[in-house]
Amino acid sequence: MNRDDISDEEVSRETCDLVSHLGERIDTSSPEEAAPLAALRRFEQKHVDEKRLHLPSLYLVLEQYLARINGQEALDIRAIRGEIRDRFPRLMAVGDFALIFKSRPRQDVLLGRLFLVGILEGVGGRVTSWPAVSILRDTSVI
Amino acid sequence: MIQDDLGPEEAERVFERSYENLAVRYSELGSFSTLVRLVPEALLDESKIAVFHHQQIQRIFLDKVERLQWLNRSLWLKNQQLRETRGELEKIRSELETRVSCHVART
Repeated sequence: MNRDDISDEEVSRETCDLVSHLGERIDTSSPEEAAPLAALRRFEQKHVDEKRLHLPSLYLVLEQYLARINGQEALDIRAIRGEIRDRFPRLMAVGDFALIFKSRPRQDVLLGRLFLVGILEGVGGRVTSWPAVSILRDTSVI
Repeated sequence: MIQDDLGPEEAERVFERSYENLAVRYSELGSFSTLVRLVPEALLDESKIAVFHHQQIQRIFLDKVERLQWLNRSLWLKNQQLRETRGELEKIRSELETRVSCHVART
């Protein structure tokens, strides 16, 4: 994906706000709170760069928890994503995180693209007939 | 083929690394099971499938069923075309036989 159009400081600040926003919604009296709380603690101990990397997985764990159990009321994943998109629009500039909020077909394409980028980076120019990674990183093509 | 350039073991490592980098971030995402279609079947072991949820496995299964149905339909259509072609050939052969026997009778 393209390098995101948002500074590391801003990502860090927004991530902090998002995590505390989601963290507040964990029902600590629920028997199912252990997994999201543990994920939150692990995330909070990470370095800023690692937080950026692990934000999608933390968000998905918390989202699933909220969708499964939120006190008595289960929430719809689409509703949760809509709310997060409205409340944290700047985080939608973080490509790896924004992927979660795309339509299903676009998620499929972007995941496939990221998979190929990973392979191309792993190959590291050893297969010269392959396209440059930069071509696949250009999300404007799709 | 990547295996030809890097050798099978190194190619496997490259695929594994790329898959794991994505699994760390997106294994909880419903569409993550899409990657099953991209990972070479030889590398699809239990550890990769184990990260999928019930719904993702269901989707993989349904995709496979859909693909199987599509293949069955294609096979059926090809069989149908073959049957039609064979029918036409038999018709032509019988016409030819009639013409030849008429010609022989006349001579």
